[in-house]
Amino acid sequence: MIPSQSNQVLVTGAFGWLGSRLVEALLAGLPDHESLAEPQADLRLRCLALPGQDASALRRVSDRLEVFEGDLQNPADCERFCRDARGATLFHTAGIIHPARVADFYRVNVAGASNLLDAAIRAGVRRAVVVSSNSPCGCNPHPDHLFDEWSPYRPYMNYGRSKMLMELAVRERQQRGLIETVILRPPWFYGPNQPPRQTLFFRMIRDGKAPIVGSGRNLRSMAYIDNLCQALLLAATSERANGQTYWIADRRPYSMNEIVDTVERLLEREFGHKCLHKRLRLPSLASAVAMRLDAALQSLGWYHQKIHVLSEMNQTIACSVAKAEQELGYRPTVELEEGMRSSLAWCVRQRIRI
Amino acid sequence: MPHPFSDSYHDAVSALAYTLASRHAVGDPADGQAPFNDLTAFILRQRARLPDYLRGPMLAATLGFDLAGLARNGHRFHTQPPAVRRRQAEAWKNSKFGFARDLLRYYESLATLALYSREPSPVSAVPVAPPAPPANGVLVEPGRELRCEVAVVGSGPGGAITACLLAEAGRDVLLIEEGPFLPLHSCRSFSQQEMEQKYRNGGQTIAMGRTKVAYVEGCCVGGGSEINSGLYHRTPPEVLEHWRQEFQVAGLTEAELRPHFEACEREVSVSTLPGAAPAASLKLHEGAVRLGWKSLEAPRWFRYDTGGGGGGIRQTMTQTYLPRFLSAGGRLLPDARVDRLRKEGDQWLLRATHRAHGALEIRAPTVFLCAGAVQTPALLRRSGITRNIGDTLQLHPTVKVVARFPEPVNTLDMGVPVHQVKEFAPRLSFGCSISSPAYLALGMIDHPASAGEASRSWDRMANYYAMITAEARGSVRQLPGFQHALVRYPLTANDRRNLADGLHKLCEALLAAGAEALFPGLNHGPRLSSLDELRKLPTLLPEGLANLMTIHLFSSCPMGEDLARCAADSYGRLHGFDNLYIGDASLLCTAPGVNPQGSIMALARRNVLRFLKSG
Repeated sequence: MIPSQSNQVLVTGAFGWLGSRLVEALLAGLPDHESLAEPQADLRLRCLALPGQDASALRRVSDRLEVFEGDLQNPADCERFCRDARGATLFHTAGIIHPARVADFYRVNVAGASNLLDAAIRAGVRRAVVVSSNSPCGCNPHPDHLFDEWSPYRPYMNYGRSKMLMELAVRERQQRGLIETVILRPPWFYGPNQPPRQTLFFRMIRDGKAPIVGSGRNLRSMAYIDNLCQALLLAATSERANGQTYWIADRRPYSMNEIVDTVERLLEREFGHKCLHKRLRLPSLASAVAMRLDAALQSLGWYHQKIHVLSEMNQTIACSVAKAEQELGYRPTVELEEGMRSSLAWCVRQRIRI
Repeated sequence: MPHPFSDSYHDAVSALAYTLASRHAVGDPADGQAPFNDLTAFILRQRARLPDYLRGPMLAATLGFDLAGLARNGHRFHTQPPAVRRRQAEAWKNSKFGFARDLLRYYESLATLALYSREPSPVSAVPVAPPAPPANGVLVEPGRELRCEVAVVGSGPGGAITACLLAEAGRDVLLIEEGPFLPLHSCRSFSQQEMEQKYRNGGQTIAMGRTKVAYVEGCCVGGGSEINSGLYHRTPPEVLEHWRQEFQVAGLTEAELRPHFEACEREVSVSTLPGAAPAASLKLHEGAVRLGWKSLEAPRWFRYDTGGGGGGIRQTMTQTYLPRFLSAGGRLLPDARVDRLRKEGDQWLLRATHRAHGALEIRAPTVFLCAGAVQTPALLRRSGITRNIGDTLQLHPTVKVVARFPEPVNTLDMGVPVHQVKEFAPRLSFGCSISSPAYLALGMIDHPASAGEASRSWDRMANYYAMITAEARGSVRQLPGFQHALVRYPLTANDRRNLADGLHKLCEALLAAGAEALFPGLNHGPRLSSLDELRKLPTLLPEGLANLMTIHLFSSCPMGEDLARCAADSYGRLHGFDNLYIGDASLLCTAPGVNPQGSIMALARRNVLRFLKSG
């Protein structure tokens, strides 16, 4: 599955939502895509975990997996993580999206990524597949707009700026011929392993408190986590992907209303939850106010997750995945209903109370 | 594009591109599906290429358009749902204010062109100009000061011949070209890429007036010869006679010019098609013949492949005179614009700006200006030389019509149509023009009800034109503080009558050829399908509502001994100056009524040989 001079694969953020699913896919294969169905037998996986993260679950998965403790912000840790990885493939899925302080965006997303890349370059890593975000391009300028690879940078606040600076740092190293790179830009993702903030979203829908700002007809692209893993694996192997950037999401964007309605329907019909069938309807002004407030707080160095999320609620954040389909052979097989069903089933399996 | 309104401008343009392009969207993704960000990117690139005096007004008008949505329903244009935006765009397109119509037409033209020029794999098709071919004598990194015996400004047909013959006569020649040095096949002919690489201002050049005339100039090594169709005519004898009589031009009888015509024709391989002409071209010919009108096949400067099929290589200046010039030891300086010239002792001092290396100075005892009918007078006027300069610009105003036939007449590799109807020459000439799906879609902009036609039925459609010899006299002026020349061209009522007559007769010929629908290039013009309906055409083209273009410009510095009206003498030397010559279309005393490149080449050759003979 990972054809390279080396069977070594490095994964950062391996304990995160995306990283842990990627590790599973690397070890077990991805049945959704014919070329990825079979895992590579002799794969050797090395994962980077923050000190103190519980690695036992991962270690149980396979004995071909080594776990390194370290922090991207520390160059020596990156050096250690990449040592003797000549010809390896690096997946950089670690990043920070909802930090306590604005400065963390830059320390982790920019400086951390640069430390990692420089260590990878020194070690002779063949290719780095780097997970970015929609945020470097911000929100769509008009309701029927779709982002694609022509879209200019217009970063949304500090998270967007940090991811933009990271992309620029990645591209600069690729252009100097130091390493092969591929950048993936997934928007809002969903699926099993979800963090508590996503479970809270399900709970709000059940309790009739799902916030709909404005008409709710604004479009959001979402990336089901297995679709995203598929793109990551394809990006690692595709010859022509070197130096490219790809938007990765489900095949089509969904309206806010469709997202909430779908979850509500699944909760009620398939998971036996009684829903209140109400929405917390807010005027567009609410998002506008939240955006100003968020910007003001961030300019003081503070970050408040709920205000930030509210500020984006009425925005269109939609993209086209045509380039990934054409060049990577990306086939996003899972769509909203199926993906949300898997998320809810995972919650049930994990005994997470919604 | 770092200016304070750049985000607002981007959003307005993006919303416009989506609104205008979605009307064309059909099933095939490569053909016209969202996203349309490649269209937006093209429009933004084109904005940067606009003549500088138009950039500010265009920005203001676009932001005004965006804000106009606020007045209508409380939200800026770009934030509104597609259906609301479509209504506002329609309203502006049909506005009674000319600037509103022009604004929407501008964006619709660019969006349409980019949409129909999409490659099968659009997202990766970032246009990249290929590097200049390494050739001896091409100055890539010029010093700050250059000297030569003769400086030739402009490398189009006039400049290339002038420079070539001077170099072959042993003179030390520097040929200066504002545009880049690109191979002939750096892009497909008549494509969006060609427009971006080789046209002045990205093809966005307009002769201002109540009825605007869009025109095109080459801006690359080889000039117009690199981008035109290559149709060839000698100057008609009666036109030469008129110039000799009215402008007192010496040495201009047909017999005196013949050796020059013949030499140029040999060099650029003027020849007729070895096989059958394109079907669309033949259609017009058939229609004309049915009406008993004179129609002929114009020869081209083209080296056809043996074995027919119409393939081969267009004999542009980069294929003919310029290689000769370089092998004779001439030096070519591309990417350098001459800003001014002035006399300094017995030398001319040319101040120029190189695209990459900035200011440079060129000194030469003798200068030939061959920058074309707009740039030559503009340079002279910038330099304070104004007598009879840029006051009498002429062109061939042209109106177009799209015709649809019951059977296929068009193919993607159709090539250049060659038939011209000359029954009413020199007053009117008709022909078939480039009919790629993109150009057909541009022609259909005036017919929004039939907008999808160009993508559905392009193989049964073709573009045709009616061109007139006009009486209007335009001007070329340099606005203080701006870099680009302002061209004005006030069409007269007679010209508009002739254009209407030309359009009418052209439609008649196309109907005689079996066309089932005609779409004339008039704003919301009628769709015609029978002789009866030709009555719907105006007899006088309405001001501001006709979409005119031209590719032929000349006569801005006419030659002759009549000091009251001529800028240069009978052989191109500027009146009142030593060692300053003109060698391009500016010299043509009036509109020749035929494709002018044959006249330009013969005159340039005649004048430069005379110069060499006189010492």
